[in-house]
Amino acid sequence: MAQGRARTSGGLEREIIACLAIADEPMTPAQVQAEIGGDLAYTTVMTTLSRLYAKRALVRSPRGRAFAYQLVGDVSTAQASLTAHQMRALLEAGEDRASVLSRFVQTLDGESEQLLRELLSDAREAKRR
Amino acid sequence: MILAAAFVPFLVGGVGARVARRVATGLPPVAAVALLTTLAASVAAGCAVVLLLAGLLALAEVPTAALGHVSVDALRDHVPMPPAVGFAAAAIALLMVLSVLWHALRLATRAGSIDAATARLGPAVDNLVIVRDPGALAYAVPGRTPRIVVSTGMLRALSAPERRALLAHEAAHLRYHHQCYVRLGQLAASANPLLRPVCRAIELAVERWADEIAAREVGDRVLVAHAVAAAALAHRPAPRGALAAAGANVLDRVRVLLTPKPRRQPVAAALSAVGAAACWVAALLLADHLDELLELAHRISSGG
Repeated sequence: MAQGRARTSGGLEREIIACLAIADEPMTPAQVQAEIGGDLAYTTVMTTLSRLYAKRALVRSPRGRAFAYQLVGDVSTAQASLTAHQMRALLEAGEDRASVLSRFVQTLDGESEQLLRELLSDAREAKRR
Repeated sequence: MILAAAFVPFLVGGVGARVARRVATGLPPVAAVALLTTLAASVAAGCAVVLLLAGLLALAEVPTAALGHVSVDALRDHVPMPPAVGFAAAAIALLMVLSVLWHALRLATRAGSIDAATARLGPAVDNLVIVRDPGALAYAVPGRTPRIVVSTGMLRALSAPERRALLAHEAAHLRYHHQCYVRLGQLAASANPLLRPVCRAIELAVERWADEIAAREVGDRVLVAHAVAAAALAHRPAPRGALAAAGANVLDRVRVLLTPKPRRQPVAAALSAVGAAACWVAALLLADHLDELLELAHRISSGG
Protein backbone atom coordinates (compact mmCIF):
# COMPACT_ATOMS: atom_id res chain seq x y z
CA MET A 1 0.00 0.00 0.00
CA ALA A 2 1.20 3.50 -0.74
CA GLN A 3 2.24 5.36 2.36
CA GLY A 4 1.08 8.76 1.24
CA ARG A 5 2.73 11.97 2.14
CA ALA A 6 4.98 12.71 5.00
CA ARG A 7 2.84 13.99 7.82
CA THR A 8 2.77 17.60 8.79
CA SER A 9 3.65 18.03 12.44
CA GLY A 10 0.14 19.32 13.17
CA GLY A 11 -1.35 16.29 11.46
CA LEU A 12 0.79 13.91 13.46
CA GLU A 13 -0.02 15.66 16.72
CA ARG A 14 -3.72 15.28 16.01
CA GLU A 15 -3.28 11.63 15.15
CA ILE A 16 -1.45 10.98 18.38
CA ILE A 17 -4.07 12.82 20.43
CA ALA A 18 -6.79 10.78 18.74
CA CYS A 19 -4.88 7.59 19.41
CA LEU A 20 -4.33 8.36 23.10
CA ALA A 21 -7.94 9.46 23.53
CA ILE A 22 -9.24 5.95 23.02
CA ALA A 23 -6.38 4.08 24.67
CA ASP A 24 -7.30 2.27 27.84
CA GLU A 25 -4.03 3.09 29.55
CA PRO A 26 -1.03 5.40 29.12
CA MET A 27 1.03 4.52 26.05
CA THR A 28 4.77 4.49 25.48
CA PRO A 29 6.23 5.94 22.27
CA ALA A 30 6.76 2.39 20.99
CA GLN A 31 3.11 1.54 21.55
CA VAL A 32 1.99 4.74 19.82
CA GLN A 33 4.31 4.00 16.92
CA ALA A 34 2.92 0.50 16.57
CA GLU A 35 -0.64 1.75 16.69
CA ILE A 36 -0.28 4.62 14.24
CA GLY A 37 1.74 2.93 11.57
CA GLY A 38 5.07 1.44 10.80
CA ASP A 39 6.37 4.08 8.40
CA LEU A 40 6.86 6.54 11.24
CA ALA A 41 10.29 6.72 12.81
CA TYR A 42 10.41 6.03 16.53
CA THR A 43 12.26 9.29 17.13
CA THR A 44 9.54 11.25 15.30
CA VAL A 45 6.90 9.77 17.57
CA MET A 46 9.00 10.43 20.63
CA THR A 47 9.71 14.02 19.63
CA THR A 48 6.05 14.68 18.95
CA LEU A 49 5.01 13.16 22.26
CA SER A 50 7.50 15.34 24.15
CA ARG A 51 6.31 18.39 22.24
CA LEU A 52 2.71 17.62 23.21
CA TYR A 53 3.88 17.12 26.77
CA ALA A 54 5.64 20.49 26.67
CA LYS A 55 2.38 22.04 25.42
CA ARG A 56 0.72 20.51 28.50
CA ALA A 57 -1.61 18.47 26.34
CA LEU A 58 -0.25 15.22 27.80
CA VAL A 59 0.92 13.97 31.15
CA ARG A 60 3.51 11.25 31.48
CA SER A 61 4.68 8.73 33.99
CA PRO A 62 7.86 6.68 33.89
CA ARG A 63 7.47 3.15 32.61
CA GLY A 64 10.61 1.06 32.32
CA ARG A 65 13.23 3.12 30.53
CA ALA A 66 10.67 5.26 28.71
CA PHE A 67 7.69 7.39 29.59
CA ALA A 68 4.07 6.45 29.15
CA TYR A 69 1.80 9.27 27.98
CA GLN A 70 -1.88 10.00 28.37
CA LEU A 71 -4.17 12.93 27.67
CA VAL A 72 -4.13 15.58 30.32
CA GLY A 73 -7.17 15.77 32.59
CA ASP A 74 -9.05 13.73 30.07
CA VAL A 75 -11.71 15.34 27.96
CA SER A 76 -14.54 13.82 29.89
CA THR A 77 -15.16 17.01 31.83
CA ALA A 78 -18.84 17.71 32.17
CA GLN A 79 -18.43 21.14 30.58
CA ALA A 80 -16.86 19.86 27.38
CA SER A 81 -19.37 17.10 26.87
CA LEU A 82 -22.28 19.42 27.61
CA THR A 83 -20.98 21.87 25.06
CA ALA A 84 -20.48 19.06 22.59
CA HIS A 85 -24.12 18.15 22.97
CA GLN A 86 -25.15 21.73 22.42
CA MET A 87 -23.01 21.79 19.31
CA ARG A 88 -24.64 18.64 18.14
CA ALA A 89 -28.06 20.17 18.64
CA LEU A 90 -27.00 23.27 16.71
CA LEU A 91 -25.66 21.02 14.05
CA GLU A 92 -28.83 19.07 13.64
CA ALA A 93 -31.20 21.99 14.14
CA GLY A 94 -31.13 23.63 10.76
CA GLU A 95 -30.47 22.74 7.24
CA ASP A 96 -27.97 25.56 6.86
CA ARG A 97 -24.89 23.50 7.42
CA ALA A 98 -22.55 26.24 6.31
CA SER A 99 -21.76 27.60 9.74
CA VAL A 100 -21.05 24.20 11.15
CA LEU A 101 -19.81 22.83 7.97
CA SER A 102 -19.51 19.26 7.14
CA ARG A 103 -19.99 16.52 9.53
CA PHE A 104 -17.71 13.85 8.22
CA VAL A 105 -20.74 11.82 7.28
CA GLN A 106 -24.45 12.17 7.66
CA THR A 107 -27.12 9.81 8.73
CA LEU A 108 -27.89 7.12 6.21
CA ASP A 109 -31.33 5.81 5.48
CA GLY A 110 -31.82 2.06 5.33
CA GLU A 111 -31.60 1.83 1.58
CA SER A 112 -28.39 3.86 1.34
CA GLU A 113 -26.89 1.73 4.06
CA GLN A 114 -27.62 -1.40 2.07
CA LEU A 115 -26.14 0.15 -1.07
CA LEU A 116 -23.06 1.23 0.83
CA ARG A 117 -22.44 -2.27 2.13
CA GLU A 118 -22.79 -3.64 -1.39
CA LEU A 119 -20.33 -1.07 -2.76
CA LEU A 120 -17.77 -2.06 -0.16
CA SER A 121 -18.14 -5.78 -0.65
CA ASP A 122 -17.88 -5.32 -4.43
CA ALA A 123 -14.69 -3.35 -3.92
CA ARG A 124 -13.30 -6.04 -1.65
CA GLU A 125 -14.07 -8.76 -4.19
CA ALA A 126 -12.52 -6.75 -7.00
CA LYS A 127 -9.39 -6.42 -4.92
CA ARG A 128 -9.23 -10.15 -4.26
CA ARG A 129 -9.57 -11.07 -7.91
CA MET B 1 -34.86 38.94 -30.76
CA ILE B 2 -32.68 40.38 -28.07
CA LEU B 3 -35.56 40.01 -25.62
CA ALA B 4 -35.09 36.26 -25.72
CA ALA B 5 -31.99 36.96 -23.62
CA ALA B 6 -34.36 37.63 -20.73
CA PHE B 7 -35.04 33.92 -20.50
CA VAL B 8 -31.39 32.88 -20.58
CA PRO B 9 -30.58 33.06 -16.83
CA PHE B 10 -33.72 31.08 -15.99
CA LEU B 11 -32.96 28.51 -18.65
CA VAL B 12 -29.39 28.20 -17.44
CA GLY B 13 -30.69 27.80 -13.89
CA GLY B 14 -32.91 24.95 -15.00
CA VAL B 15 -30.18 23.23 -16.98
CA GLY B 16 -27.68 23.83 -14.18
CA ALA B 17 -29.97 22.20 -11.65
CA ARG B 18 -30.07 19.12 -13.84
CA VAL B 19 -26.36 18.77 -14.50
CA ALA B 20 -24.95 20.07 -11.20
CA ARG B 21 -24.64 16.69 -9.57
CA ARG B 22 -22.82 15.30 -12.58
CA VAL B 23 -20.40 18.22 -12.43
CA ALA B 24 -19.85 17.54 -8.72
CA THR B 25 -18.95 13.90 -9.24
CA GLY B 26 -17.41 14.01 -12.72
CA LEU B 27 -14.83 16.75 -12.38
CA PRO B 28 -11.76 17.14 -10.21
CA PRO B 29 -13.35 18.52 -7.03
CA VAL B 30 -11.55 21.87 -7.00
CA ALA B 31 -12.71 22.58 -10.54
CA ALA B 32 -16.20 21.37 -9.69
CA VAL B 33 -16.46 23.68 -6.69
CA ALA B 34 -15.19 26.66 -8.70
CA LEU B 35 -17.53 25.95 -11.60
CA LEU B 36 -20.61 25.30 -9.47
CA THR B 37 -20.20 28.37 -7.28
CA THR B 38 -19.65 30.52 -10.38
CA LEU B 39 -22.75 29.01 -11.94
CA ALA B 40 -24.85 29.63 -8.82
CA ALA B 41 -23.72 33.23 -8.50
CA SER B 42 -24.18 33.92 -12.22
CA VAL B 43 -27.69 32.50 -12.38
CA ALA B 44 -28.77 34.29 -9.21
CA ALA B 45 -27.36 37.60 -10.40
CA GLY B 46 -28.61 37.14 -13.98
CA CYS B 47 -32.18 36.38 -12.88
CA ALA B 48 -32.19 39.34 -10.52
CA VAL B 49 -30.92 41.72 -13.22
CA VAL B 50 -33.52 40.56 -15.74
CA LEU B 51 -36.35 41.00 -13.26
CA LEU B 52 -35.10 44.40 -12.18
CA LEU B 53 -34.83 45.57 -15.80
CA ALA B 54 -38.40 44.42 -16.44
CA GLY B 55 -39.45 46.43 -13.41
CA LEU B 56 -37.55 49.46 -14.64
CA LEU B 57 -39.26 49.22 -18.01
CA ALA B 58 -42.69 49.11 -16.40
CA LEU B 59 -41.73 52.06 -14.25
CA ALA B 60 -40.70 54.05 -17.32
CA GLU B 61 -44.27 53.86 -18.59
CA VAL B 62 -45.56 55.61 -15.51
CA PRO B 63 -45.87 59.25 -16.66
CA THR B 64 -44.66 60.76 -13.42
CA ALA B 65 -41.68 58.47 -13.09
CA ALA B 66 -38.34 60.02 -12.37
CA LEU B 67 -37.07 58.75 -15.71
CA GLY B 68 -38.78 61.64 -17.44
CA HIS B 69 -41.50 61.50 -20.00
CA VAL B 70 -41.16 58.75 -22.59
CA SER B 71 -43.30 57.60 -25.44
CA VAL B 72 -45.22 54.62 -24.15
CA ASP B 73 -46.16 53.58 -27.66
CA ALA B 74 -42.55 53.40 -28.74
CA LEU B 75 -41.73 51.26 -25.76
CA ARG B 76 -44.69 48.96 -26.33
CA ASP B 77 -43.68 48.55 -29.97
CA HIS B 78 -40.35 47.16 -28.91
CA VAL B 79 -41.30 45.32 -25.77
CA PRO B 80 -44.82 43.95 -25.76
CA MET B 81 -44.93 43.53 -22.00
CA PRO B 82 -47.90 44.65 -19.89
CA PRO B 83 -46.73 46.89 -17.03
CA ALA B 84 -48.29 44.51 -14.50
CA VAL B 85 -45.77 41.87 -15.52
CA GLY B 86 -42.96 44.34 -15.05
CA PHE B 87 -44.09 45.30 -11.58
CA ALA B 88 -44.53 41.67 -10.62
CA ALA B 89 -40.98 41.05 -11.81
CA ALA B 90 -39.71 43.94 -9.75
CA ALA B 91 -41.54 42.58 -6.70
CA ILE B 92 -39.92 39.19 -7.19
CA ALA B 93 -36.50 40.78 -7.57
CA LEU B 94 -37.08 42.67 -4.34
CA LEU B 95 -38.08 39.45 -2.61
CA MET B 96 -34.87 37.83 -3.86
CA VAL B 97 -32.74 40.59 -2.42
CA LEU B 98 -34.61 40.50 0.89
CA SER B 99 -34.29 36.75 1.05
CA VAL B 100 -30.53 36.95 0.54
CA LEU B 101 -30.20 39.62 3.21
CA TRP B 102 -32.32 37.61 5.64
CA HIS B 103 -30.33 34.48 4.97
CA ALA B 104 -27.03 36.33 5.38
CA LEU B 105 -28.24 37.71 8.70
CA ARG B 106 -29.21 34.24 9.88
CA LEU B 107 -25.83 32.86 8.86
CA ALA B 108 -24.10 35.61 10.79
CA THR B 109 -26.08 35.09 14.00
CA ARG B 110 -25.62 31.36 13.75
CA ALA B 111 -21.90 31.75 13.22
CA GLY B 112 -21.92 33.90 16.35
CA SER B 113 -23.63 31.29 18.51
CA ILE B 114 -21.31 28.63 17.16
CA ASP B 115 -18.26 30.77 17.91
CA ALA B 116 -19.56 31.06 21.46
CA ALA B 117 -20.07 27.31 21.68
CA THR B 118 -16.62 26.48 20.33
CA ALA B 119 -15.06 28.84 22.82
CA ARG B 120 -16.63 26.70 25.58
CA LEU B 121 -15.33 23.47 24.07
CA GLY B 122 -12.17 23.86 26.02
CA PRO B 123 -8.54 23.45 25.06
CA ALA B 124 -7.55 22.01 21.75
CA VAL B 125 -4.27 20.76 20.36
CA ASP B 126 -3.89 21.83 16.75
CA ASN B 127 -7.60 22.66 16.70
CA LEU B 128 -8.61 19.13 17.60
CA VAL B 129 -11.20 18.63 20.34
CA ILE B 130 -12.08 15.12 21.38
CA VAL B 131 -15.42 14.54 23.04
CA ARG B 132 -16.35 11.56 25.19
CA ASP B 133 -19.42 10.39 23.37
CA PRO B 134 -20.22 6.83 22.30
CA GLY B 135 -22.02 8.19 19.23
CA ALA B 136 -19.96 8.48 16.06
CA LEU B 137 -19.55 12.15 15.37
CA ALA B 138 -16.98 14.20 13.51
CA TYR B 139 -17.19 17.69 12.14
CA ALA B 140 -15.18 20.76 11.34
CA VAL B 141 -16.26 24.10 12.73
CA PRO B 142 -14.98 27.13 10.86
CA GLY B 143 -15.01 30.50 12.55
CA ARG B 144 -12.90 32.63 14.81
CA THR B 145 -11.62 29.56 16.65
CA PRO B 146 -11.66 26.84 14.02
CA ARG B 147 -12.10 23.41 15.52
CA ILE B 148 -12.18 19.79 14.49
CA VAL B 149 -14.52 17.95 16.84
CA VAL B 150 -14.40 14.16 16.97
CA SER B 151 -16.13 11.85 19.40
CA THR B 152 -14.44 8.85 20.96
CA GLY B 153 -17.25 6.76 19.44
CA MET B 154 -16.11 7.82 15.98
CA LEU B 155 -12.44 7.16 16.77
CA ARG B 156 -13.24 3.66 17.99
CA ALA B 157 -15.21 2.91 14.84
CA LEU B 158 -12.14 3.51 12.67
CA SER B 159 -8.75 1.89 12.23
CA ALA B 160 -5.64 4.01 12.80
CA PRO B 161 -5.10 4.77 9.09
CA GLU B 162 -8.81 5.57 8.74
CA ARG B 163 -8.53 7.98 11.66
CA ARG B 164 -5.68 9.67 9.86
CA ALA B 165 -7.88 10.03 6.78
CA LEU B 166 -10.73 11.45 8.85
CA LEU B 167 -8.50 14.03 10.52
CA ALA B 168 -6.95 15.02 7.19
CA HIS B 169 -10.44 15.40 5.70
CA GLU B 170 -11.63 17.71 8.45
CA ALA B 171 -8.38 19.69 8.44
CA ALA B 172 -8.82 20.23 4.70
CA HIS B 173 -12.24 21.81 5.27
CA LEU B 174 -10.68 24.35 7.58
CA ARG B 175 -7.51 24.92 5.59
CA TYR B 176 -9.30 25.61 2.30
CA HIS B 177 -12.19 27.57 3.83
CA HIS B 178 -14.80 25.30 2.34
CA GLN B 179 -17.57 27.00 4.27
CA CYS B 180 -17.24 30.04 1.97
CA TYR B 181 -18.25 28.06 -1.10
CA VAL B 182 -21.12 26.35 0.66
CA ARG B 183 -22.36 29.68 2.03
CA LEU B 184 -22.19 31.30 -1.38
CA GLY B 185 -24.26 28.46 -2.81
CA GLN B 186 -26.77 28.79 0.00
CA LEU B 187 -27.13 32.51 -0.53
CA ALA B 188 -27.67 31.98 -4.25
CA ALA B 189 -30.26 29.29 -3.54
CA SER B 190 -32.02 31.50 -1.02
CA ALA B 191 -32.39 34.12 -3.74
CA ASN B 192 -33.48 31.62 -6.31
CA PRO B 193 -34.98 28.25 -5.30
CA LEU B 194 -34.14 27.00 -8.79
CA LEU B 195 -30.56 26.75 -7.53
CA ARG B 196 -31.16 24.38 -4.62
CA PRO B 197 -29.80 21.35 -6.49
CA VAL B 198 -26.71 23.38 -7.41
CA CYS B 199 -26.25 24.26 -3.75
CA ARG B 200 -26.44 20.59 -2.76
CA ALA B 201 -23.96 19.76 -5.51
CA ILE B 202 -21.54 22.33 -4.08
CA GLU B 203 -21.81 20.59 -0.70
CA LEU B 204 -21.00 17.28 -2.35
CA ALA B 205 -18.09 18.72 -4.33
CA VAL B 206 -16.64 20.27 -1.18
CA GLU B 207 -16.80 16.91 0.60
CA ARG B 208 -15.08 15.29 -2.37
CA TRP B 209 -12.42 17.98 -2.25
CA ALA B 210 -11.66 17.10 1.37
CA ASP B 211 -11.81 13.38 0.54
CA GLU B 212 -9.20 13.78 -2.19
CA ILE B 213 -6.91 15.79 0.09
CA ALA B 214 -7.24 13.00 2.65
CA ALA B 215 -6.51 10.43 -0.06
CA ARG B 216 -3.36 12.28 -1.04
CA GLU B 217 -2.32 12.45 2.59
CA VAL B 218 -2.72 8.73 3.25
CA GLY B 219 -1.83 7.72 -0.29
CA ASP B 220 -4.82 5.45 -0.76
CA ARG B 221 -8.26 6.42 -2.08
CA VAL B 222 -9.80 3.06 -1.21
CA LEU B 223 -8.76 3.55 2.39
CA VAL B 224 -10.57 6.90 2.46
CA ALA B 225 -13.65 5.24 0.94
CA HIS B 226 -13.59 2.72 3.76
CA ALA B 227 -13.18 5.44 6.36
CA VAL B 228 -16.17 7.34 4.98
CA ALA B 229 -18.23 4.17 4.81
CA ALA B 230 -17.23 2.95 8.27
CA ALA B 231 -18.03 6.34 9.74
CA ALA B 232 -21.38 6.48 7.96
CA LEU B 233 -22.34 2.99 9.13
CA ALA B 234 -21.29 3.77 12.70
CA HIS B 235 -23.23 7.00 12.58
CA ARG B 236 -26.50 5.12 12.08
CA PRO B 237 -28.32 5.51 15.41
CA ALA B 238 -29.88 8.87 14.65
CA PRO B 239 -32.41 8.50 11.89
CA ARG B 240 -33.91 11.96 12.00
CA GLY B 241 -35.33 11.82 8.50
CA ALA B 242 -34.76 14.90 6.36
CA LEU B 243 -31.17 13.90 5.78
CA ALA B 244 -31.76 11.30 3.10
CA ALA B 245 -30.11 13.51 0.50
CA ALA B 246 -27.04 13.59 2.69
CA GLY B 247 -26.99 9.80 2.61
CA ALA B 248 -26.82 10.10 -1.14
CA ASN B 249 -23.71 12.26 -0.69
CA VAL B 250 -21.95 9.51 1.24
CA LEU B 251 -22.79 6.98 -1.45
CA ASP B 252 -21.51 9.23 -4.22
CA ARG B 253 -18.33 10.00 -2.32
CA VAL B 254 -17.61 6.32 -1.70
CA ARG B 255 -18.45 5.43 -5.27
CA VAL B 256 -16.07 8.06 -6.68
CA LEU B 257 -13.28 7.09 -4.27
CA LEU B 258 -13.59 3.43 -5.23
CA THR B 259 -13.32 4.26 -8.93
CA PRO B 260 -9.66 4.46 -9.93
CA LYS B 261 -10.34 6.86 -12.79
CA PRO B 262 -13.66 8.62 -12.24
CA ARG B 263 -15.69 9.06 -15.40
CA ARG B 264 -15.41 12.65 -16.58
CA GLN B 265 -18.44 14.70 -17.48
CA PRO B 266 -17.23 17.13 -20.14
CA VAL B 267 -20.74 17.90 -21.43
CA ALA B 268 -22.12 18.81 -18.01
CA ALA B 269 -19.02 20.88 -17.33
CA ALA B 270 -19.22 22.71 -20.65
CA LEU B 271 -22.94 23.39 -20.19
CA SER B 272 -22.30 24.88 -16.78
CA ALA B 273 -19.38 27.03 -17.90
CA VAL B 274 -21.09 28.32 -21.04
CA GLY B 275 -24.32 28.81 -19.09
CA ALA B 276 -22.63 30.90 -16.41
CA ALA B 277 -21.04 33.11 -19.05
CA ALA B 278 -24.33 33.35 -20.95
CA CYS B 279 -26.06 34.74 -17.84
CA TRP B 280 -23.69 37.69 -17.71
CA VAL B 281 -23.81 38.29 -21.46
CA ALA B 282 -27.60 38.20 -21.41
CA ALA B 283 -27.80 40.62 -18.49
CA LEU B 284 -25.39 43.06 -20.13
CA LEU B 285 -27.15 42.85 -23.51
CA LEU B 286 -30.53 43.49 -21.93
CA ALA B 287 -29.30 46.41 -19.85
CA ASP B 288 -27.71 47.95 -22.91
CA HIS B 289 -30.84 47.36 -24.97
CA LEU B 290 -33.12 48.90 -22.37
CA ASP B 291 -30.87 51.92 -22.15
CA GLU B 292 -31.07 52.45 -25.90
CA LEU B 293 -34.78 51.86 -25.90
CA LEU B 294 -35.46 54.39 -23.19
CA GLU B 295 -33.35 56.94 -24.97
CA LEU B 296 -35.25 56.34 -28.17
CA ALA B 297 -38.64 56.56 -26.46
CA HIS B 298 -37.52 59.72 -24.73
CA ARG B 299 -36.43 61.30 -28.00
CA ILE B 300 -39.70 60.37 -29.74
CA SER B 301 -41.68 61.78 -26.87
CA SER B 302 -39.79 65.08 -26.62
CA GLY B 303 -39.35 65.41 -30.39
CA GLY B 304 -43.14 65.21 -30.77
